Amino acid sequence: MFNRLSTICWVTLIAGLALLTTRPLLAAGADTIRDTVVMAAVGDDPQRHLNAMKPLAEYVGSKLAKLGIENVDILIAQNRDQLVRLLRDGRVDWVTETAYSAAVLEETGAAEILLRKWKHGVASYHSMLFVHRDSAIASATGLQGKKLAFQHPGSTTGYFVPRSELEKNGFRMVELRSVRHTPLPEAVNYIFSGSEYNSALWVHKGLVDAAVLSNLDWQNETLVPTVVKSDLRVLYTSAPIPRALEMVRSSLDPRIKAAIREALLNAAADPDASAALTAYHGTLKFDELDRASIDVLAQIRDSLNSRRIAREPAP
Amino acid sequence: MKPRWRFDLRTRYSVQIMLVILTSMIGLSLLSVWQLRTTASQVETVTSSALQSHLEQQVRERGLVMSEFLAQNLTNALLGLDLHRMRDELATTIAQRDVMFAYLYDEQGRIIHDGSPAIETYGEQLADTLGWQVNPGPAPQTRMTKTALHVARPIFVADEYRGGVAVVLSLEVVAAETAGLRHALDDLAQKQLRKELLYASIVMLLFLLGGALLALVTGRRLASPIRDLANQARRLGEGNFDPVVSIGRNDEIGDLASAFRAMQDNLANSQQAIQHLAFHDALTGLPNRAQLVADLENMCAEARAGSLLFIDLDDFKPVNDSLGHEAGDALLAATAARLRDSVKMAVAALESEEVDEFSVARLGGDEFTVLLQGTADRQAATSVANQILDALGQPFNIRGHEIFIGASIGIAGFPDDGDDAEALFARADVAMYQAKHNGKQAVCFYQPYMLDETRSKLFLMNDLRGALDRNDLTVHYQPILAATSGNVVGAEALVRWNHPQRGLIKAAEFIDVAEKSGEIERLGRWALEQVCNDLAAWRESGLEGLFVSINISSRQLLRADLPDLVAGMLSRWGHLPGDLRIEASEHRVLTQLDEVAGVLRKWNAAGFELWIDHFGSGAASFVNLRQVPARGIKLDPQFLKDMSSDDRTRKFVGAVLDMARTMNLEVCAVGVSSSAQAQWLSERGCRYLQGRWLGPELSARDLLQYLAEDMPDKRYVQLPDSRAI
Repeated sequence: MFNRLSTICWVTLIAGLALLTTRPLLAAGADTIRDTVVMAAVGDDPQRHLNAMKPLAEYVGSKLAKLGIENVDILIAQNRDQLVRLLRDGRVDWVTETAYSAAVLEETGAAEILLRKWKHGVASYHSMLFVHRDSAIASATGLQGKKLAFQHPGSTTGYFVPRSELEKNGFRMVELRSVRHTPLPEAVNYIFSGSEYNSALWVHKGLVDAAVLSNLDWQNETLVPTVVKSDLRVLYTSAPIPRALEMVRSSLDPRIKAAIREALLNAAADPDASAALTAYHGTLKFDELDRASIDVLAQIRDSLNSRRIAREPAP
Repeated sequence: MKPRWRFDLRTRYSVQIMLVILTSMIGLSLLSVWQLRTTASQVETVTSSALQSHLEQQVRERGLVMSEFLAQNLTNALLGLDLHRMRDELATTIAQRDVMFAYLYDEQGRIIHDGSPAIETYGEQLADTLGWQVNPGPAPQTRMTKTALHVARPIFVADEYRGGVAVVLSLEVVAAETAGLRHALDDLAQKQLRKELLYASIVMLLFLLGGALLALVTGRRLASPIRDLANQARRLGEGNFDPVVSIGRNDEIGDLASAFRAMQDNLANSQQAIQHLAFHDALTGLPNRAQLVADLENMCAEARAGSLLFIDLDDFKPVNDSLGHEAGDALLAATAARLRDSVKMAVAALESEEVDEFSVARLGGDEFTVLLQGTADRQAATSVANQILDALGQPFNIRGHEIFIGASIGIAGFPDDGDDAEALFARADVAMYQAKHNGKQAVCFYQPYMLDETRSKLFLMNDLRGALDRNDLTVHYQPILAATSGNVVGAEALVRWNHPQRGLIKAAEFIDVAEKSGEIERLGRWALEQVCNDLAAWRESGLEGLFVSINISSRQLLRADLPDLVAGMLSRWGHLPGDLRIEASEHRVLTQLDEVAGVLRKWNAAGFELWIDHFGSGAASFVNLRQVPARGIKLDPQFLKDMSSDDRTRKFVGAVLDMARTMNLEVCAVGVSSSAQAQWLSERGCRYLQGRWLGPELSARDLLQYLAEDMPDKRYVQLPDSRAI
């Protein structure tokens, strides 16, 4: 059957990933309609991604059959840079990403945003900057010479958005390699905690002065235990940021783009898509980007540009 | 009545065996239970302590491994203060059942993470007891408490001490496991114990059953022959002498049975002997009275005709007296033999064969019977009786003595003379007495009048007792006159019975009865008393020198103490022996001379004059008379009666008088009835005269009167010469 065949195909694909990345999959041009659409994501847990994506891939695949699309394959890239290359090579057609990554991909010109994804039923989220309840820091300005914990470099709300905000406000950002290191007095000293829990607990135990989390993580009891949360104080909240975005290869056949777009927009109303949506990161629905989201994304792109300009040797 | 239930030998034996088995089995069971318990307890102790140390070792190793694992996994987290990683590792560790606490601490021993989400103990100083040291060596520290194992493992990075992990492992599992093992062992021991008890019970039950069976069999083997013997003994006691059922044993019980059998045989023999003795006469071997009575009863019951011959030997007693009892017994045995033979011959010789059965029995003493069954024919009975008389009439030779005896035979027939054994017997007896009375060596058939006579004697016997009590007896005196002077010199005392119905009864009629009933002693004493009294009365009346003759009965003649008794009585009354003359009948004295001679001499010695009464009536001879210390003889009245008409008698009396004179014996003639007789007797030397014509029987008072009237000198009467003889 189609499904089984498709699964076998993409398992083969995974196995031969290194080879796939070194030579073109098809010699066809960008305007040529192929019989396969490749859906991709970045991650280090292919199994999890596969389970999440496969039902939707099959659903959308079925909607594309009229265009001669026989299969929707799935591909898990090891990192964003690889994904960008695959997109440029036309070997990936459809990607799901967070706002920051989406902005990065869009910036490369290899992909374009298609629709907003209500990941886990949420349309958007925002960053929260917090200190210990007893901290003397009253506003973001108080962060000067203090230690600030970010989540990790790929995090939209846990790093990129707050950093952009801080930089926009003129703070000099210096990364400390260890939480144990002494901060520079003239800069905001940041450390990647590696986990939301670390960020919350570091602040709570006084290892850092402040930390940043998304409002979704803030509300997660596992990541920020209530006891801990009651000892924390929120200093700053960012504007809403789209929770996730569906993107397509810029060079993808517009008919296919349109067909995917249509399939996704209609999925929420299609009972046949219900299970696929739930599996697909608990997605409630797909919709068009609203104005605020467009603005936020523009802002991120700006930050990326200014950051690229500002990237200079750390002091 | 037997008790309903008793502990018989078999039961007792069985119960004892069962008790022994039960006790042994219970003892063994208890011992094995005790051993099992002890062993189980030891095994439990050893095993559980081994298990405990093993488990503790396991826990220790686990603690070390766990801490090492944590230390390795958390080294980077420690360096980067990756609390998240710490939480994951420590929480995972703590989640394990036996882990009580898990800590990551810094080089100062301050807790960095305890696995809880909010790290509640963050920054707290780790207790020393958890194994934290200021400057630890690389090796982990372990410390075992009662309830937990503490492991502290330091973390070195590039030889620099950076902190460590501490793990506290609960020993609850060890305790629980050990307890579980103990429990399991206990269970096992309990199960084993139950099994053991079950086996023991089964074995005990089997043993008990076997024992019961064995005891029953053995008990039965032991008890049943004894029971058999007991039953035999019981039957024996009831007189059943059936042969003993053989016990068939070769042991003590067999011996007992043999002894028992021997005893039974002896008993049976004895019983037979006793039976024989009971129905036979030991001396002659003839059936005895009991057998005769049985035969008679049998005959009467079967209503068979028959004749009973009652035989009494004549003159047997003198043989016994003179030759001794042994000779008497020999004579009786010989008599029995002759009786048997003669009866046999007689029955065989009978023309009619009606006598189909006969038996000879000895009743005792010299009394025998012959019972002829089949016929009451007098002819046959007479013929047998005569044969007997003939046979017994032949002399017997007993120890060199030729002995003559005879027999008197009374015959009674069934059913004419009596319709039961008792009657028949009594009537034959009566007939025998009649025969004897008729003059011995005679046969007499029973006649109804005989029984009347006998009955009248029986009545007399009864009446006599009352008569003595009522004083119906009196003593009369018949005067005795001196032949030469005709004076009354004495009197013969005669006891008379004034019977209320029969009138005056003479002594001769009731003396015999008195002797037979034993009243003779009383009668004699009474009479003597009376005589003494009368003598005294006469003396008071001036009548002195009068002697009184008294008759001594045959029976009293044998009493050797009587002379002294009589002398004593006389002296008490103030009389002299000479006042009394003792008369004894010729028959008694002369036929039993040997027996009475001594007594007669005593009478003499006591001073009494002895006179032989009724001389000439029996077989007396002067030869015998010589040996008797008599003063004189009294002629039997029959002589004087016959003398008037018979010249030969007169001559004979004359010869007796001559002979008496020759032997220096005085003579008293009794029954003198005429003057001529008195004259004649007087002339012939007869010293005393007595007779109704000379002087009648008078009471003591009348005699006094009589003498006073007829004796002018108040002392003597004249011989009535004027009266014609």
